[in-house]
Amino acid sequence: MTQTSPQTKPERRSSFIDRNLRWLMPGPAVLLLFVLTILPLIFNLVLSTQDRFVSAAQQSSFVGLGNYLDILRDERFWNSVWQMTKFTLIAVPAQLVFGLLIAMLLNRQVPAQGPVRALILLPMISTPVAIALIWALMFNPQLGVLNYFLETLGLGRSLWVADERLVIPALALVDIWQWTPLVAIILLAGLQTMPEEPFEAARIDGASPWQLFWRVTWPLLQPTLFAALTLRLIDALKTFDIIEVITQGGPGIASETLNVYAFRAGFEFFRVGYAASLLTMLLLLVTAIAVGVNLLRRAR
Amino acid sequence: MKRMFGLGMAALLVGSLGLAQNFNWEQARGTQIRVLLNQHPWTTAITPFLPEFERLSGVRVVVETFPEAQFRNKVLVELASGTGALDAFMLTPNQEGNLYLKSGWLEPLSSYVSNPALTAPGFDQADFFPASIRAASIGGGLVGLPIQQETTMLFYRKDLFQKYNIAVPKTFAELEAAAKALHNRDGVAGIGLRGRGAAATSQLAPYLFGHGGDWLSPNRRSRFFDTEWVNALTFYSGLLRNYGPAGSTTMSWPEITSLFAQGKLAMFTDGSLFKSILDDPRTSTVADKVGYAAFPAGPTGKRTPVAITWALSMSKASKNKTATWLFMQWATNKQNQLRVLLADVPASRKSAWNSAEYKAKDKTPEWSAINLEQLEYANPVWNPPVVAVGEVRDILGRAIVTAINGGNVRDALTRAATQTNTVLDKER
Repeated sequence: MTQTSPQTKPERRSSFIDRNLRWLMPGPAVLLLFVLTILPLIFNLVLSTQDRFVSAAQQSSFVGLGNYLDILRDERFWNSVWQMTKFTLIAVPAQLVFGLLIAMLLNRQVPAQGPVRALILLPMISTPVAIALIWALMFNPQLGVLNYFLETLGLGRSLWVADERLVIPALALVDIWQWTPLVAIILLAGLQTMPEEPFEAARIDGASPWQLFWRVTWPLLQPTLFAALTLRLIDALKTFDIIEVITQGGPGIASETLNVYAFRAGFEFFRVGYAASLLTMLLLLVTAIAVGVNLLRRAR
Repeated sequence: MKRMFGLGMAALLVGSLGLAQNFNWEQARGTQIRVLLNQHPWTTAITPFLPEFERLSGVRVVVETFPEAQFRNKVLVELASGTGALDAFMLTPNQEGNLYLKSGWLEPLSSYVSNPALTAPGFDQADFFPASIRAASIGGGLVGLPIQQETTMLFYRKDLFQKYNIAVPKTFAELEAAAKALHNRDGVAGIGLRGRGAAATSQLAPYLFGHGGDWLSPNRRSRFFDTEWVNALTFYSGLLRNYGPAGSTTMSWPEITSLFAQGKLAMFTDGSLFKSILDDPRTSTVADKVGYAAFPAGPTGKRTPVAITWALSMSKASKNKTATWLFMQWATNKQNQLRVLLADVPASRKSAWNSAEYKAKDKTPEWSAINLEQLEYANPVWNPPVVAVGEVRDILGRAIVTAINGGNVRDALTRAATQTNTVLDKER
């Protein structure tokens, strides 16, 4: 008896594991997701129903959907949604076009391909805040290098991020510079995993390079393009670091995106309830757009 | 001279030994305190001397330093969490003081100062400038020990004023005339002022007071639609739009001081603290050409600089209050205030400015004289006196940007007043 028990115990234990494997395997991941994502999300939703100041200096109270009603009447909210949209509409398409061009170039037999691919990743792997500080210096109308180039080319000086109309395109330029490499790498992976046969068949049929691209490469690249598009859309809508460091949403509120506005409301105006509601709106918007893109992909 | 200095040091040493017998600096020996500091010239100047305090008291001091924006966020988050992990921190009482005190985060200090068991005999509160003590006292009680006391000052390029035979401006009208005369001469803009929204409000304040305006009415409503406000903002934004550097709506003090240091500005008005950047040949190309003048007088005929005070405060949740208080009084004692003044930080103790050592080493006596004179009448209320300072500064900042961009000043201020009153309604 005493000899058999040590043998049966592990058996019993392993049968428990066997029976519950489907719960046990994803368990750690689910737990992590719950603690790091679901809980804060629930907390954020609860917070968004309160009119709450960061400290006890003002009474906090339950306002239900009051914050959301205020948001819909808040000019500054609509401004921030518009700036966020402009930023995304400039940055993401440009990243896809340039990313595709670079990917096509790299897909051919370029000399020193390894080092070139490594170099092109540099903007992506540098620290965003450091990048933003350098760009802020380059944008400076008096001391910045960008105006120096413009003047050398015989063009006039520009105000760059100090100009209310130019600030969003200028910030989008930084985003394009920083994230085009990511798109290029994704698309390059897509290009390199394409089957050879359709290309061979098309070439035998006498297709021109132009036809080859539009009739073969482009359709085959669609899934990868949509993946890159979704990734960049979500990220661009949420952009915070470069905007906060370069302009803090200025001049005035000309570059204040929804994320930046929520940060202001929470950490400078100390209205945490309102900031939580703004972030819920951002979450809803980003999710809706991501789902929309996904539906578009499936419809194809 | 050297021998005299040595003798003086010996006397000081004997003196402090004598004091040490009366006062127990080691009453919190073995504890550790955590201090959050802003990346500020005062921090740079005091940090090398911290081991001296650790030897004196046996208290270990852990210092964390952050750039201003992150620093302010970090202090707020730590205080709001209420864990007591933070003991002392730098504070601009006029910015966060009201909020922090009402939230119950600041330890009132008056009872510490009056307790001879806790405060060394040489502390001498009367040695601080009255303006500094006023700024660091909220609701009648002391909530911080002043560590630096700056006033708004006019910085100008001596060489350009001489070359074009322009007198140093004494009034707002002369200021505008000088800006006009020097604009686009020798590659400089006529005048630099902060234009970046919220950050500009504290530097608009002296122009507001010069036009006879004020923040709030006695029944705590915004006065932004007063004629004085319209005149002040019209003048301020006009200077920047007509004679300012391109892109001034993105500029706060780092941009303004670096433009001046690069020789691209004829003059600017801002805190006297920034002298240290401008007259240092390592950071300035115009180090030997900087002139200092008192803040000019407005239409009211009075000079109306503001006085900005940084203080060292204690967290109410601190678990090592005795050790923290020992550190605070040491950091602001006469010797350390002299040390920071010698490093170009405008000290908040009279004894530092009046000391023979500072007078002997002072490279810019005119700067010292102006700073001291202005402290007699400078206004310490450089921020709107509300709890939600950040939000009201932001509201006003947007009006400033609109004005600089040529928008209608009266409309912008009326909008700002309405928004500010909404914020004030919540504070009732």
